[in-house]
Amino acid sequence: MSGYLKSIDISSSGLTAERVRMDVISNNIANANVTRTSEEGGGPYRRQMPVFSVRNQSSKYFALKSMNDSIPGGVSVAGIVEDDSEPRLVYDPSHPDANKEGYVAYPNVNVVREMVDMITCSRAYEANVTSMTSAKNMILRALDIGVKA
Amino acid sequence: MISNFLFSNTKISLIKTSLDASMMRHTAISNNIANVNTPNFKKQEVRFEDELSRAMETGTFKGRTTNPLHIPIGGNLQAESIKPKMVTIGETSMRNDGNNVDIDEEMSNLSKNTINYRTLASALEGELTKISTTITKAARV
Amino acid sequence: MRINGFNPTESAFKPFKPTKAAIGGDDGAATEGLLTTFADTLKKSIEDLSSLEKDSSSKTNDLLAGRLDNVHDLMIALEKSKIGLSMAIEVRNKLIEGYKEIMRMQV
Repeated sequence: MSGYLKSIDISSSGLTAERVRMDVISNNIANANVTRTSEEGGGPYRRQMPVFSVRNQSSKYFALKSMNDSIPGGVSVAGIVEDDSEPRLVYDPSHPDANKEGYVAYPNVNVVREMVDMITCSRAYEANVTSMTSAKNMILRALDIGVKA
Repeated sequence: MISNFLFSNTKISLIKTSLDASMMRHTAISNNIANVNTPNFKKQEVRFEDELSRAMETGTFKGRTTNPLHIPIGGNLQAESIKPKMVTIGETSMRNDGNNVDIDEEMSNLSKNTINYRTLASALEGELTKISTTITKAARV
Repeated sequence: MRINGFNPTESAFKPFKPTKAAIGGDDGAATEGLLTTFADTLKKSIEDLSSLEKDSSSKTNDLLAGRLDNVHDLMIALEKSKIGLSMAIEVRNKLIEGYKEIMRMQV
C-alpha cells in the first residue's frame, strides 16, 4: 500500500520467516528417529535448515536515490537446505535397516539443539510482533496531530 | 444545489472513493482470514491505489488540442472514474491443501488497512474543516 | 551594577522597511525586494497561503496514490494549511473592521 506502512510489511516478513523456521524445526523433531525415507534405499532423514536473506525493495520512486543504498525490505526465505553432516551410527544388528556391519544410520538431528532453536525462534516472533505494534502505535499517534483534545 | 457548490471538489470525491476501496479491502481480508484452513481456497485482494496513481500521472500530461472536437492524448483516464476491483490471486500455494492464505500477511494487511482508513478519514476531516472554517469565521465581520 | 552605554549602530537610525527577506521570502540584500505597497504585501501573503494549500494537496494526492512516505508529513501539512487559512481570515476580518471604522468617521 503506502510507503508509510512499510515498517509493518517488514515486521510481517519477519513473522513469516520465523514461522517457516518453526515448521522446519517441528519437522526435524518429528523425524528425529526416521531411519528410512520414502525412496528405495533412501538413507535416514536428513536435518533441514531454512536459509534467510535480506529482501531489498526496488521501487520506481526510489530510482532517484543512489543505487548503492539498499532500501530495507525485510527478510525473505531463500530456501530450505539439508544438513550434509554424517548421520549418527548406532550398533543394532537386529534392526531391519542395519547395514552389513550392523550399524543403523539415524538422522543427524540433535533434539536439544532443535529445542534451543525453537526458543530463539519463538522469541524472535514475539519481538517482531512488538515491533509491528510499536510501528502501528507511532503512526496512529501521528494521526492525532491537530486534533482538539 | 448546495452539495454541488460545496462538495463537487475532486479531492473530496477521491478521498471518498479511497475510503470505499479501503472498506472493500477489509471485507476481502476478513474473508481470507476466515478461510485460512479451507482447502483449495485462493486469497483475494483489492486493487485500487496503483490504478489511481497511474490515472493521476497520465491525467497531467494531456495532449494539446487545437480544435474542440479533437480527443486529447492521455486525458481520457479520469481519476474520478477509477473504481476499486477485487481480484483473486490464484498462484500455487506452499501448502498441501491448495490454500494460499498466509495468516501473518493477512493480519498485517488488516492492520495496515485500518491505519490507512483512519489516515484517509483525517485527511477528509482536514478538507471539510477548511470549508467549515471559511464559512463560519469569514462571516464574523 | 554596570550599565553599558547604548551603542548606536547604523540600523537603529534607519527607518524600518519591510523586505521580502524580513517576512520569510527569498534571501537578498536589504535594498532588493522591497515591498513598497500594501498590494505587494497582500499579494505575497496570499501566495504564501496558496503554497501551503498546494503542499497539503500534493501530500493528500500522495496518500491517495499510495506513495506517502511519512504520515506525520501529511498531518503537519494539513494543520499548517488549516491554521494559515484561519489566520488569513482573521486578518481579513480585522482589515475590513478597520476600513469600516475609518468610513464611519465624520469629516
